[in-house]
Amino acid sequence: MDIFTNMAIGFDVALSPSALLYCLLGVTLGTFIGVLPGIGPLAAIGVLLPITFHVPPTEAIIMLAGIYYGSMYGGSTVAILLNLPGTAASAIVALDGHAMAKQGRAGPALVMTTLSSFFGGCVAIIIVSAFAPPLAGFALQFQSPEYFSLMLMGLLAAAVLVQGSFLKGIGMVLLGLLIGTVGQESISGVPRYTFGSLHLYEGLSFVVVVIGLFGLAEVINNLSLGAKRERFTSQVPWRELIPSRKDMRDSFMPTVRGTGIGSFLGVLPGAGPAISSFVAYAVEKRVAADPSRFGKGAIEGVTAPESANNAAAQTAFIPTLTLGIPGDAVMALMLGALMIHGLVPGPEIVQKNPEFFWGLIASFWIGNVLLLILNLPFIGLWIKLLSIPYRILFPAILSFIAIGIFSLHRDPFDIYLVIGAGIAGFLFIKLRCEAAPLLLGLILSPMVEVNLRRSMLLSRGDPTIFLTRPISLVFLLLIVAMLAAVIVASIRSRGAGGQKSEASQEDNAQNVP
Amino acid sequence: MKTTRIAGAIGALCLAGVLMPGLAMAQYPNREITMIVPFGAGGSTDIIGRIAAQALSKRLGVPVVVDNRGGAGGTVGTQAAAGAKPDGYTITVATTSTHVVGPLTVKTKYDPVKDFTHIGMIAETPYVMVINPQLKATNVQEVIDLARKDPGKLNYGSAGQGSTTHLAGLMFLNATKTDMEHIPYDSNAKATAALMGNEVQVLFGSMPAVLAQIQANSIKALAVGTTTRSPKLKDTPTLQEAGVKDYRASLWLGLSAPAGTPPEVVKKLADALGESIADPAVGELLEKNGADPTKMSPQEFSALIASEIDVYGAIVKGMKK
Amino acid sequence: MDASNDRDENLISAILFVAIGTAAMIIATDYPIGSLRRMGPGLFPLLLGGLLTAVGIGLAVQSLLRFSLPWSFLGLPALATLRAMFFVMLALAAFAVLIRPAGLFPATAIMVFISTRAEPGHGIVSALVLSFVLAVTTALIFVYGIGLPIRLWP
Repeated sequence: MDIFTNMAIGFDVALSPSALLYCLLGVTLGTFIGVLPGIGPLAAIGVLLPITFHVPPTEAIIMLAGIYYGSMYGGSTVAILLNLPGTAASAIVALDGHAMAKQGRAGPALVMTTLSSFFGGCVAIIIVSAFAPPLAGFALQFQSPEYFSLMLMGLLAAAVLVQGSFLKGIGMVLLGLLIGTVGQESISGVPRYTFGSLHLYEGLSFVVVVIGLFGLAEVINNLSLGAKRERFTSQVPWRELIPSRKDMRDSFMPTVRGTGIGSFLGVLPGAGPAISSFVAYAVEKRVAADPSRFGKGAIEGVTAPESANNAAAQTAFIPTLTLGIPGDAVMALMLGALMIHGLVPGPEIVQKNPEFFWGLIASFWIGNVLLLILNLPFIGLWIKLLSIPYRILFPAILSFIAIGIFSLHRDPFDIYLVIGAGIAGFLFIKLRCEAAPLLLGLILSPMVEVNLRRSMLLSRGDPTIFLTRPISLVFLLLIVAMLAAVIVASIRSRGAGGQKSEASQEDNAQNVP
Repeated sequence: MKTTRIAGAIGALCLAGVLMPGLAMAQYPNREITMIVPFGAGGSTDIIGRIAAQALSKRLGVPVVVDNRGGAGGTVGTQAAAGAKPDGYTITVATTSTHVVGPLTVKTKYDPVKDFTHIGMIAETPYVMVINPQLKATNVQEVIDLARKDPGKLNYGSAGQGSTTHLAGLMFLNATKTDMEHIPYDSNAKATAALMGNEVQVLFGSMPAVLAQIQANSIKALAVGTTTRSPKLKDTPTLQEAGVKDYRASLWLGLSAPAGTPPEVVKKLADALGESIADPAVGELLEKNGADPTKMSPQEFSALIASEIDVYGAIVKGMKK
Repeated sequence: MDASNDRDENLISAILFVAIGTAAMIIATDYPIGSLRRMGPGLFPLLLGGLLTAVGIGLAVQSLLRFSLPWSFLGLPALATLRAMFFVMLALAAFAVLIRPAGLFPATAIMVFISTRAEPGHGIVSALVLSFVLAVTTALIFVYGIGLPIRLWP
């Protein structure tokens, strides 16, 4: 069977009126739910899962997939406009995207987000359809030591992406890892850092931390700036919604690189998709002629992580479908939905259910097209959000935060946690400690720990296991290279007296958030 | 497609059946029911829990939402279930690991008998001794020989420290007087993936997690842990047939609610569960996932749990030397 | 702002890191450490706490080496900041306290009303109107739109 016959089978299924309808329904619902802070892809799918029980399996999974990337897209939108990210990936996109919005360039930021995620998605789909089985085999090469080294590299990339002191970035990563150990430990069940509180047994929920550190801290910071607060442009003419030719040119290569990084990392269950946007951002900052633009509205800082994230979202289906290993909670929910419909994921799913597999793949593509059609006209509408006076907007943001967070576990304790995270986030803004690296530490913490512990068991206590396995060694060498680059850069800037001018430049930009 | 439609029609009928007396009787259930699955999503307990949740949802007319709370061999989620309000709106999947092995090996704060009202059995699944195809062995005896030649060199995986799959492995080591290193994972799916990647060479995996991979020849089944052969793997011997004396381990899954759940609520849940299991569509789904649907009344299920605690208790005690 | 401010921020961050790192290490000693081969639940947090402390010390040394001026950061935060922080926190806390007993509608309305006090500019009437409008909107979106199982009223 070649790829064209496969895709023909796929489009036959995906272009049937019912499949199209469910796909459209999925991306629309997903987008609208995704823009609500605190309700990310996971909650969106969780809430809408029961609807799909009454739908045939292929249509059900097409709809769920639509909800999934629709809500991711909606999440990026609200992250860019209001600095209210709901996922780690959108927190990265918000770094430069929100800075662009503050410069009155929300339109180009959103359009480029749409285009780059479309590009990333499409390329990743081609990769999935052509190389799914070999990529699944490759994913199996990744065992505990490889995952550990990969995550170490991802964490370092996250520390690199901050402005200013690299040590601060490392500190924030470590802080995130530490926060991630709160709760009952997964191997022996010992509760750690719970201070006897049952609420903390399950750890700190990621959404709570991200909403507090970003959204709430942003609100406090904006209020504290009072009259000095940046005013968003109230009227955006249509012409300014469209990205300039320069935006396009500046975005092209970053999008290609981001797509490559995302497609590759997405195949690795769990750790891969989480770190893809961090790595993509760090790479752009490294290759950029002027890294100091990052964090102040660099278009590459939006398009690279966004394309990486969307590409990873597509390739993440490979291990889920062909190996039956869900990468994250969202994929696990998808897997559950499949099983309920009697579709057992595994190496034979492609042969046994070709209409399903290729139909799903084709629907990814159709979903991305629908998302593009759906979102471009909406961008003008989203931007109108910014013309609402802040004194009306911020109580609204607070209510969405409160209700969104409460809906997670219906536990008021989560709201107290958000308050704590908000104060911490405000302090971080004042201290110019960037919170994004902390998020990656938080997500990866349990995975880093179990893979480290497992690697040591496998090697019978010999730490050189990380050096003797080739793939793991490659990541460690990349880490060394990154560290070397950081050290060289800091020596050079000190030698040239660039330290001071860089610092003062940052001040100008940093007052903005 | 066809089965879905039939299932939908059955579901609609049952919905009507539940709703009508529901108007006259007590209002249970009038909102969503949370079903705690004390294991990671994608594992066998999760799959079977989800099948049961969907079947129950159709019969009870309210959503039954699966809440995955994995960790510590299933005891984390079970602890949460034990502490939940006994109003019938929180139920949990009770398994060999959460209600027998877990309390025996991990320090749990709950009592598997006293802290729960048991509702009934869903299904039973055998353990399968599977190996990575690169391992130079074609039968159980050759694995034993390899392990004896190089004690502690082979790795065997499990779904977690103190999990039933861990215990099934320990039982094997104990019975064959061999030594292998135990590598814990956090779900059956991850342990199976690690077996495929040759990070571990041997796994006593639950049937639902390994069946698809066995059929695809990416891992090799050597024996099953039950005393009779499984209909799904007719050519695979039992471990007893393969020469491992007195070996018997299987995993059962049922539903339980916190102790103190009102009897009429338990009856409603047990009836809905019984009907679900008798439904051929549900049975087919369970079997596709490697589990044999098994019906048990609340009393029978409670009795089973009590007797298994005695059996496994003796084994665990013997192993703790 | 100038580079001295940058140093102060780094120094305060450093103190924060050292404090959290040390506290984490002290608490982690309560958990079993295990061995390198069989790591216990205490080893990973101990390691992280140690690294965080080390990074904090490194950061402190780095900023002290570059001769520091008195901490400009510690100048009293403006009254506006304190006011904003106070009312925003109070608003959210009120929501947390009220959501269970009072339901979504009253909790949201009261939260919005308190939050409008965070900065000057809202008259009582406009604040009341905003509270009502947002409570209705969120109820429509979350309860009727998405169908979250949250009670609207006591």
